[in-house]
Amino acid sequence: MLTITELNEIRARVRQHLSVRRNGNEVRIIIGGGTAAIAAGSRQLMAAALEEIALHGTANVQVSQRELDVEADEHPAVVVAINGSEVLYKRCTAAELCALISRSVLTPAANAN
Amino acid sequence: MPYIRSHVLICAGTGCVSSGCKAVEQAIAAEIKRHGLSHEVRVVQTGCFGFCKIGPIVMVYPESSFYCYVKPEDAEEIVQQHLLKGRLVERLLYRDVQSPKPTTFFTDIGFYKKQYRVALANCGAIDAESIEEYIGVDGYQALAKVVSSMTPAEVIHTVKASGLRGRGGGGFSTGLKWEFAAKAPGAIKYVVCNADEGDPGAFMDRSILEGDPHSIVEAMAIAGYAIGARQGYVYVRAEYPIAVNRLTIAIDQARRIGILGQGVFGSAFDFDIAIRLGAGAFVCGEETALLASIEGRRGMPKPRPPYPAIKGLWDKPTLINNVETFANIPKIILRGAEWFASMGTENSKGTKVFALAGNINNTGLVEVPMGTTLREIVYEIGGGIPNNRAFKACQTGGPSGGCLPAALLDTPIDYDSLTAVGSMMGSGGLIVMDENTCMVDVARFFLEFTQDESCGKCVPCREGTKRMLEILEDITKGHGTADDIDLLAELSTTIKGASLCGLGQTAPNPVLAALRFFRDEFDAHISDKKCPAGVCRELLTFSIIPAKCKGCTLCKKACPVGAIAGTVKTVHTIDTAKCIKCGACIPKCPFMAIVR
Ligand SMILES: Cc1cc2nc3c(=O)[nH]c(=O)nc-3n(C[C@H](O)[C@H](O)[C@H](O)COP(=O)(O)O)c2cc1C
Ligand code: SF4
Ligand code: SF4
Ligand code: FES
Repeated sequence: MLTITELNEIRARVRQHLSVRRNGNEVRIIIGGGTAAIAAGSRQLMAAALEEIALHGTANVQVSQRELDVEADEHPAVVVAINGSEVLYKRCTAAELCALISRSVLTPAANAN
Repeated sequence: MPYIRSHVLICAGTGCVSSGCKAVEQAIAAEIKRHGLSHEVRVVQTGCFGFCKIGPIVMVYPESSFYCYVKPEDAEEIVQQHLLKGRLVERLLYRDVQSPKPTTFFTDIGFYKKQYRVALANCGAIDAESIEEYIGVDGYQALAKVVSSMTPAEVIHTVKASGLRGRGGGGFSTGLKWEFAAKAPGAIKYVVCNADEGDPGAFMDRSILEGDPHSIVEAMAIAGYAIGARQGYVYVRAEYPIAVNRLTIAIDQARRIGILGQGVFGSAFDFDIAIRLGAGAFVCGEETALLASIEGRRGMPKPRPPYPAIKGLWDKPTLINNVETFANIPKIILRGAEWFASMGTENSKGTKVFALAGNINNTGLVEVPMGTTLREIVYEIGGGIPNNRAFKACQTGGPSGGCLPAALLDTPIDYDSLTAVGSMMGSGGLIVMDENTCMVDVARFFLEFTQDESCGKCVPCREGTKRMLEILEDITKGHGTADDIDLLAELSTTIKGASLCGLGQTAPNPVLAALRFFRDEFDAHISDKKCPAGVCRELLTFSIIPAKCKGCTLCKKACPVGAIAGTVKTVHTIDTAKCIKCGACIPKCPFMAIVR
């Protein structure tokens, strides 16, 4: 027999997994895509971002990719959007991105819900 | 737990299965693996998105990119461009009929913009074979709430207050029906879900079972708690193999995880569900016939009263509700009766799902608040009529309903408005017909269906529908007489008044509605021996307009029986004695010189 507490535990766990399909997540990490970005290491940024998010186990972040409008030598770039307002970070490193994520994820304003 | 950044949802409803989604799914999964993305991207198979016409449908999150007509060959591009490099695959994005610009986001698509999904909320949104995903979208919370904090009377009160009415065709108050079943004396009671869905063209119940089967399991358990039943049955037609399979999986999962069975969520309430397969007879959707079929007897209606709520399955009090009716229940419990009652019209609350079909650009399943007008559905959601043809009529209520002319396009869709104009809600079939449709032929089609499906128990239904069909066939063949209309009306009155079940009682409706709104077409068939829409073959005469014919000989080559005579650059003629009225010549003429 399943208890209501167990039901709610499953819900909390799956909600995090389903956040990928939700509109209006508070924090969106947009990693620059395209061939040049990949050559400059955007895939490593992606791996680091996913690991960092998994570490926090939060349900309010989304990671997507998009071609960002930066100069050739400014790859890899990342946009961090918190409640819709976007900030662009050029020549971003994995460590910087992880710090950004942990900061935005843990910011109470962004974490409300 | 690793964080998966992207979900690729692939529709695995019946429509997309027939357009090849399985091969697409395999190809995308293989490409994801080949590109080393398996640990960051997940493929999810969902139920129907409602827009089966443009399937196979693939939806990529978090971007909500809606790809349509996807083929296995497109898998590499979707994975390499979208998932790996972050570029949308523009050529696969949805384009509205009216605008060539691709729609980037799912929610911007005209077909979905005006829809409001309650019963279909999870269809196309979650993995239909995962109880966990259902729980993740608040699944089973309503059942938990009910057994832990509400009395059966409170549950019934909530359903009553919501104003929900049966979506299976009758439109009876769901809460009242629950109350009757709850108050009926007896220690053993049953909950039955009617998933027979015999209305030609309707497929909302199938889609709900395919895309969100747990919502039905949950709703039936809630109903069981409310009326005091421990056992439920779902009666579903065997022609719905995917629905049956997903429902079987759902019931199994609910049992294994410990939701169905003894002591639901630690309460004293036990509940389980079994599936019973029907063989696809329309009359078996009628509740008393359905119950007979579950009992293993021939599916034939019985007189009511007694109603099933008092004396149903094995003579025990039985609550029987339609799939779509049940699909609304968990939401009503969780969001409240007021929320549900805030949608819709005075006496028709909530939303209704329609199966939009016929001469319309966007065919598929649409869910709209009650009170939405036919015009909004046809022109805004449905995208209008293809080939710039004029709207002629739309049929609501399937074989029990009737056709409505253009003058009634602003009719709000709810139970009472549709009945007032001589049609009915039915189970939600909505067939749009353009100017090239013959309304006599449409009436004949529905009568052919009902007379074929009549179980034969009542003479007026068995014999009367046959006679009506014969008259209609005569009319479409040019043998109609002036008395036919009166005879049709007289037969209709008798059949409606003297048939036992809803099948016979409503069978004449399509004919009566066609007579009311399109009487001139009947007259043209009977008096002038003409079919104004050019459909009834026996009444057509193919001829060539001499002034338009350039003598290109193309039609002559196309005619399979050599009925067209003429030489190069002379006017051609059709020998009507030889012509078999196949119409093969018409599209061949570059100058539109051939008329019928
Ligand atoms: C000929 C006939 C066919 C019917 N077919 C169906 C059907 O396929 N599905 C359905 O839910 N109700 C069908 N009904 C209506 C049922 O008898 C019954 O009213 C309904 O299942 C009750 O559920 P509801 O109150 O939730 O609508 C049919 C009725 C008639 C007379
Ligand atoms: S009305 Fe027709 S379908 Fe219904 S019981 Fe009578 S014969 Fe059968
Ligand atoms: S196809 Fe048209 S133009 Fe050509 S011969 Fe036939 S009727 Fe005349
Ligand atoms: S089955 Fe895929 S959209 Fe309906």
